[in-house]
Amino acid sequence: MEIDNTSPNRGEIEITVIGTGGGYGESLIIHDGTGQWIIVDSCISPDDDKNLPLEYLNHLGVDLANSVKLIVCTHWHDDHIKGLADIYRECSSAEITFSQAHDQGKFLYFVSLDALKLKDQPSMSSTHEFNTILEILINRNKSYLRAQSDHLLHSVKLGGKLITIFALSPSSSTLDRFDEEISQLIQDFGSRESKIVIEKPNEKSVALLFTFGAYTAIFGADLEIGNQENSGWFNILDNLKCIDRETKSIYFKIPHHGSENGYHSRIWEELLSENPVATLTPWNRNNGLPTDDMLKIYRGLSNNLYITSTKANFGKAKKRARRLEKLIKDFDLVVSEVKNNYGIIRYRLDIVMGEAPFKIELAGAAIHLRDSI
Amino acid sequence: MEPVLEETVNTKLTSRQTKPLSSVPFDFLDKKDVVENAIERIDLEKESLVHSKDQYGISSYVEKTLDLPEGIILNTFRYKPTISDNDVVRWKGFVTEIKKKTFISKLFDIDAKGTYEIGQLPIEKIDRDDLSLLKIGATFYLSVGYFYNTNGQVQKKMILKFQRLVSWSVEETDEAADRATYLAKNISGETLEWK
Repeated sequence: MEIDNTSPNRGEIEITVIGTGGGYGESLIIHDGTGQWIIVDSCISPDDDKNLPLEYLNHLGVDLANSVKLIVCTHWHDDHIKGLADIYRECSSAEITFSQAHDQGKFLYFVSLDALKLKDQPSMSSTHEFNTILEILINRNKSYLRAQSDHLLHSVKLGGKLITIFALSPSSSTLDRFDEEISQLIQDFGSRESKIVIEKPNEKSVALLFTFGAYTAIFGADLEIGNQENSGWFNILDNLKCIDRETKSIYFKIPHHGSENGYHSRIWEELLSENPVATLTPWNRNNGLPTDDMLKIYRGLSNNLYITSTKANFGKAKKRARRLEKLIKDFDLVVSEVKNNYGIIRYRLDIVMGEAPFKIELAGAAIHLRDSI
Repeated sequence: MEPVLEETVNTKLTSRQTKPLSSVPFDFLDKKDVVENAIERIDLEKESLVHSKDQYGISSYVEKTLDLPEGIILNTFRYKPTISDNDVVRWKGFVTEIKKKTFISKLFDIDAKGTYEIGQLPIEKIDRDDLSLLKIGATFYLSVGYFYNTNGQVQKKMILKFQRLVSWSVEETDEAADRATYLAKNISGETLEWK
């Protein structure tokens, strides 16, 4: 691994973003300053099947079983959850948190129906991962933490300073709608040929607020603005109690790969400090995210803008024998490989040393957006 | 013009080894053997292959009439369609988006681990019988490559088949309900207190 393997000191906050270019997930790793770690989502390298957040923590020599205290599943997208069960298995003293519908009985019935599909399609990541996590919970005789706006997920003291992590989303009304959606999904659950597709999983995404002493950071997950005042970012802006409006966040993990749907000027005006450290993970599918227009906006908002990799080139299929490549074209198939663009952005700040400057370290394909694009 | 450079036959009765056609000891196949070893005879019929290679190294399996002892009907070595890994791409796909004339899918190369691909495929390539299966989340298998037909000739082909499974049985949905009850009994969500 290219990045330095020195562990953060006591009193030093770390926020590390691992990206793969979008197609193979992303993960956020947090050190709370006291020797405890939090892992948000998971990703697997398609090249060697390594679990990237675990590989990173092993690189630092972190005791996974005792030092990782919280695992957050932000939403049920295959690309965010793959490998999460392995993380939970390894990090045996960690709590796990995810959002669920209000009606737990109905939610679990839906999960169990979905698990039936594993008989036919064992490669369905989200179903497989989630069901394995439930089995581990039962074996450990543990509960999970409900992730919902204004819910506390982690809290520890460092000297006189309080370190916390709160869920900023999903809102209660979003979860009400999830109840209705699950009812519909159960009703429609006739066909075993197709995978269950949850509508708008981003709406149920768990955005987080990390407070460390006098500072805060916001991690946007894939949460979008939405068009209702009691859901998405509007609910965070207008209704949440866990946010101290006087304290502007110095770090922002930009939501939803910097898409237009994840941007609103009010977030930057009301929640973030001037020129915050802002991090992005790209999404190299469809037309790709972030778009050039959005990058222009974000560059105007922060000089400290980092991305785990630039947008990848599209259009080429995997390398194969030339006569097969020609045949694929002859049959009018347009095939393009989703590249693995691994990159790390590591942010460290010593909150005991007072006004010490933060440190940014980059590895792999990660870049400072001041420099290029 | 198909000059045959090499011709071999593979029989189960002769220890499954490939041997030159001329050296296959058919004289051992007397009537008694065939009657007493009927299953073996079927195996022979199924698994015996006359294998040819042309000057380009392309394999084919040719139907042959062999000179067998009287009374034994074994005049057709069944064609065994086969493909070489290098000549075919096989994907498992999941439909992610349906457009007017095409559909978008995630494609996983079955024979090559690693990265996946995004494919845009024409809807017109789907069999009429499979069209009703085209929906978001549907699973399909797609192969593109060079296949051998029954005459041993090489053909360029694309095979697209959607997964078709029997509906859930009552037992299976009951199983899900039982599991949900079990999960509900053993798993609970908590909320941490804060002021």
